[in-house]
Amino acid sequence: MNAARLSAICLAAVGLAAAAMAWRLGLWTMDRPGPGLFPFAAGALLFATSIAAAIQGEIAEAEDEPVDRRRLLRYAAAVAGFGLAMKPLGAVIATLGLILGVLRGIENRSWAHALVVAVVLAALSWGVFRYFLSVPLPVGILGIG
Amino acid sequence: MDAMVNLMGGLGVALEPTNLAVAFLGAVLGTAIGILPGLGPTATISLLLPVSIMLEPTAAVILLAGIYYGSLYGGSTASILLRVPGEAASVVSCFDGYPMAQAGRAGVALGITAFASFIAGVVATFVIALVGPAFASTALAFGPVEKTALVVFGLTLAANIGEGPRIRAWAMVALGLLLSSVGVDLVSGEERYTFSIPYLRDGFHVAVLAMGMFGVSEVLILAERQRDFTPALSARYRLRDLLPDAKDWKDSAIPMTRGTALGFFLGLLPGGGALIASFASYVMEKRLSRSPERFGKGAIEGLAGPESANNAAAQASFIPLLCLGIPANAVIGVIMGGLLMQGVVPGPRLIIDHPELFWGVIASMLIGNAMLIVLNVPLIRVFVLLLRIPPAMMAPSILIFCVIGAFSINNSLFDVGVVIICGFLAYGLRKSGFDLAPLLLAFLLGSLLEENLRQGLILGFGSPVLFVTSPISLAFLVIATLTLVLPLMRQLRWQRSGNVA
Repeated sequence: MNAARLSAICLAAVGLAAAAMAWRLGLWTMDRPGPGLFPFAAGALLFATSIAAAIQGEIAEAEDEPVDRRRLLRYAAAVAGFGLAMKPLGAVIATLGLILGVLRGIENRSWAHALVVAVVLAALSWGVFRYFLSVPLPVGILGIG
Repeated sequence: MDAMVNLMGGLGVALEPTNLAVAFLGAVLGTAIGILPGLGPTATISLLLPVSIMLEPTAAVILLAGIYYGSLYGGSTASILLRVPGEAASVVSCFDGYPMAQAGRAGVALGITAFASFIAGVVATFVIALVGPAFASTALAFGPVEKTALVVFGLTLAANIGEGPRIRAWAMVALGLLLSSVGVDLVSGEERYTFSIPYLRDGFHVAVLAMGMFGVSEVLILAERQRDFTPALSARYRLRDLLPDAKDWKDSAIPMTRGTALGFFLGLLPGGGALIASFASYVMEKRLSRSPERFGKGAIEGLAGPESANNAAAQASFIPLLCLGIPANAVIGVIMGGLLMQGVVPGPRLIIDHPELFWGVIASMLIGNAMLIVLNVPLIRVFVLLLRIPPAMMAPSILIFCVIGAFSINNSLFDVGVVIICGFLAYGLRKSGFDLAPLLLAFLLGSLLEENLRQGLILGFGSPVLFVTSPISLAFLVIATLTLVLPLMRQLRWQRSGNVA
């Protein structure tokens, strides 16, 4: 099974589940369209089109270069880690950590290079969001931010 | 003549120092993000929504609009120099722009795209001023039935004209509609798909979804492989090299005119916009050309036509937004989100209730385009330097700004999770051949569609008969059916003739 077919089947499952939940909300109540009517139609359309897409199967890939899976997975981990670190560590520490991790760990830049970029980007995002836009950025358990 | 008087009044608004400053900021930012592969106008405008709230509504729209059409000026630069489109609507510029650059005509290619965009932009502004008010007064006659039909028509176009396989585009439309129904149903008060999570009661915010789909997923696309653009960028451009000569102008004049007209028309349609306009113009120029074999090998017509089409379309798509309250494409939809956050409801009454906004924004397009031609011809050398930023730094920067940007919309860590999960899912969908633009558009139009559909059904006492007895609605539905059926019939005929041969 290829990725194109697998995701089409997942979408079909989402469509089916959504339509079933919408059905229970009520399609037609008190002579009026109920809360479930529109989501039911959308879910049914998603189910039908995804099944058709799954049958259609593979799509012509226009990729000329192969994907570096190892690199992609490391980046994916960095993205997820950044999101998870926001609450406990705060936005500033999470940003510093992300840049250091990506530049040193994935891109093999020197520590000095990574550190400078990390400090600049952390300061920039803090300046823009905290100072200029007055967004109460998460400060984390250390209270930095 | 009224239109010209109003446009002059608008010019007065647009020339106020704040508005002039934000128009300049929009032009610079638009060019920059247009040039940079990775960060497109949808994600950037979403990022700037929190900034735009601090501005007056007029200034906010001037800024966001400037970023949109500015990105189309910049977008072609990376297409021409590196064959890497800076943003989606510039894919077409790779076809003939890159071969031109390879043949040593990079300067002329960059120059002609900027002039094509400028001419189209200025013409489109005047046409908007002329036809916009007429659109608004016609739209006042639109009730829920007509609006439903118009939105259905728009979704059909979005699914049928876009990139990629049609059935997949329809699946994305369905997913977008489904996502729009998450949250408390305003009519019945029932919670839909909230799974008892309080944060989901208000549904998803368009900017958070847009940043996930077009920002975070782009980080993962950038992460797929190591890239280095620096070798391709060694050339230097003198102003003289950027100016097209008499023959270039002669070859481009007609394609630019056709591109502007086609682009403007496509921009008006919900589901249309810059991306579709540039593709349509390219196909048209190739069909009309006496020497179509030159296309793809550096034909200047293949660059001039689409570049004017996408700019005309981008500006024309402000008509359905400002006059009907219907976003024609994903970028405009995010701008609509910005207007709603300001408490301004776009629609046929906007031009009456907020004339300074309508005319100020339209007039600012003249100023914005004038600034953009300066930024993109004499100053293009400065912007090309942006392509020297290593992707290793681009990817984490986009991530940081999208994640913190998503947080800042509601100051909510839940949105941080949404933007990241949305980014991963969007990456998976993109890699499986699903185009995300119809998804976001359907998400935006979903609540509008549901509200009007329900009202239409109630007006018809539960029967959908009104949708076919209203002539306007019937017309939209018939065209929608035709856009749906005609390509299928052509495919069938093609298959049949293929079998015979």
